[in-house]
Amino acid sequence: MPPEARLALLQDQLNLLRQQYARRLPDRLEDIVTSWQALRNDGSPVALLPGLHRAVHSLAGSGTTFGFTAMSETARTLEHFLHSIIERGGALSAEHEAQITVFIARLCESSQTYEPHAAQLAFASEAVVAAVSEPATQSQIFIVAAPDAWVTDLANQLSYFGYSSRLFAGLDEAHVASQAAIPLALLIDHAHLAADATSTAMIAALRQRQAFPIPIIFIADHGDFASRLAAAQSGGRAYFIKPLDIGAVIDKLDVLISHHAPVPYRILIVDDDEILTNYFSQTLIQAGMTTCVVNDPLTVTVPLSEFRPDVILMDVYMPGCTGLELATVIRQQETYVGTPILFLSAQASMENQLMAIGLGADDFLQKPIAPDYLISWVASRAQRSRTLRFLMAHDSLTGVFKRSKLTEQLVLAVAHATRSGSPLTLAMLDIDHFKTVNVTYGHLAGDRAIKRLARLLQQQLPAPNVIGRYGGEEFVVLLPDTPLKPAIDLLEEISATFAQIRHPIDHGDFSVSVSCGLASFPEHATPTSLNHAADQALHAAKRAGRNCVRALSGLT
Amino acid sequence: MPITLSRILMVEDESDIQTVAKLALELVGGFCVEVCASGSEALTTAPTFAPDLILLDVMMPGMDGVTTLKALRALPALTTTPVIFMTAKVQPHEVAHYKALGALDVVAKPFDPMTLSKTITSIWHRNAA
Repeated sequence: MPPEARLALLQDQLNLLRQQYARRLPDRLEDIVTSWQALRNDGSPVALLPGLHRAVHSLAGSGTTFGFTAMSETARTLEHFLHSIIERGGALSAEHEAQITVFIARLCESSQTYEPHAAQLAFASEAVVAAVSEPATQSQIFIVAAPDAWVTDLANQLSYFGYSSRLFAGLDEAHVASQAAIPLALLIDHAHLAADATSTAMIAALRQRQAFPIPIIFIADHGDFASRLAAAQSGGRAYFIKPLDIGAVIDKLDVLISHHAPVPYRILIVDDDEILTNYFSQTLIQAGMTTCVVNDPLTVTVPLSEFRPDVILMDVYMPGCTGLELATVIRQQETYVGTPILFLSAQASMENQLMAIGLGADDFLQKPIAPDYLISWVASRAQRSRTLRFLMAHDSLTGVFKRSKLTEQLVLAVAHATRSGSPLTLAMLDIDHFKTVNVTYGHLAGDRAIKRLARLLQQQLPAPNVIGRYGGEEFVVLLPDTPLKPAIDLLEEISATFAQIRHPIDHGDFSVSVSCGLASFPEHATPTSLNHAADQALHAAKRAGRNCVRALSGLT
Repeated sequence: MPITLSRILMVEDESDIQTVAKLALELVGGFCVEVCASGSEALTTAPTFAPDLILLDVMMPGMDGVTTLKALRALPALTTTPVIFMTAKVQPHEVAHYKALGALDVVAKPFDPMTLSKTITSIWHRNAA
């Protein structure tokens, strides 16, 4: 039998099995409901729990295979919940019972959702036969254009912002190269393309090299509607006219290529019930979040400051101190004023809820809670908390830290350096003759230069380095674990690169330089003295003729 | 390890999974598959069936996968027969743990019946090389 025929036969057989499974499912669920009822009526649930666990485990294992993914997931959560109860000796509290009842109801509900997953539904013989590993994604941008001075220049300017590129004279060459390494993005000179079906087909083939289409940016001589339309029809995500505004191209690339995988939401769970916290934690982890569990409310201080949660999920009734008291303590500290606190409670009277809200609670969740509700509540709160925190801490023009936030970071960094004895350097940068830039080229051009410098600093000095804007054209960078000498080298390199960047204006472009002053810990051992010393060094750099890096070493 | 893989013994208590996996391995992979519903059944069947490879479910009532593996290893005919574990929600450290116990690799459940044979074959070749 040829492979295709065997796959088709398998598909038929699987469909039959799926139908049989779906027919038997209501009975199996009924058995689970009945055995749960029996278990609750019985005096010794410990002996009956393993049977229930077994039945649920079986559903968890088979559901997905037959297209009942949602049911499988609920069953998996319940299975873990039952497992942790059995492991702890099988005693059921009223809260646990209520939670299990919710799970089982949700199990029956989700068995109504039938969604065979794509791999099984589609008869994807091609995918199966040709499931060779995809070539690794490379961090390169492919530029397709006739060799020319502006192309070399484009590649150079891209490299200042951390994008390496490869030049191709034709689409066919780029296509061949993409077999070995998937590019981050394609920059195509539109004028260079023959407007025929072959080019269009080849661009389409290039785009669909992987699950997420490769972003394409077109570069053109003219901005006429017909050319723009043709580019958009070929899948172009952006369209730039020569001479290129490199800054705008960089901004577009930054948007199209998201460098940063989303950082998981951090959820602090405070509840004395280990079985329940285990369930909350596992559910949130499965939804892609990070959790920290505290079972003893009196030990919350350290996780609070070290884990820095986006959301705190807290039980109302705990031994030692109640959730309301704990919320009061947390809210009294300025750092946590913006952190949402969600209360979990089994019997929440309106009176209690109002009191809790007065003490700083953001919401009440009723226990028992189904996994999908828990995830939605927590995720939406965490997202808002993150956005607010970002806006509070970051400069709107450049996206780097505001002055106040940077000062806070400086205090932390000095404290860390003092504790660990590790080095720390503070750098202050200021764009040279910035007033002249604003007067000569306009404030918009000045703003763009400021943005470029911020982007360059972010790219060259990634975390744990901390970047902030002190206002105007002045930036501050904290370099933890970096002694003075290597920091000087780094900043000299960055200053040299920045001076080479050309900032486009209406007719032509301009360049500007920066001056930079540095000071290090432990020569300057307090936040204030570090700040002051770096500022003095910056003035020294300005006096020395600008476009240079100066350091203040020794005690002053 | 023989060069080619043809005889597979699958130990799995769940009858639905048994059927799907057997179908998938026979139809797509062209393997000769024998199924056991428990660890103890595997101990009696394995020596006569003489499999090239054993697919072993981790979580089974009675004898679990790890216990079954140890018992199989004690049988003279099965001291070196490669074993692949099948289990849900595999974390990287769990995979390392199962490999340390002597498993070739771990296959995550639920598996895709269309690609199961390919997964098994590539694990086989990776370890034969």
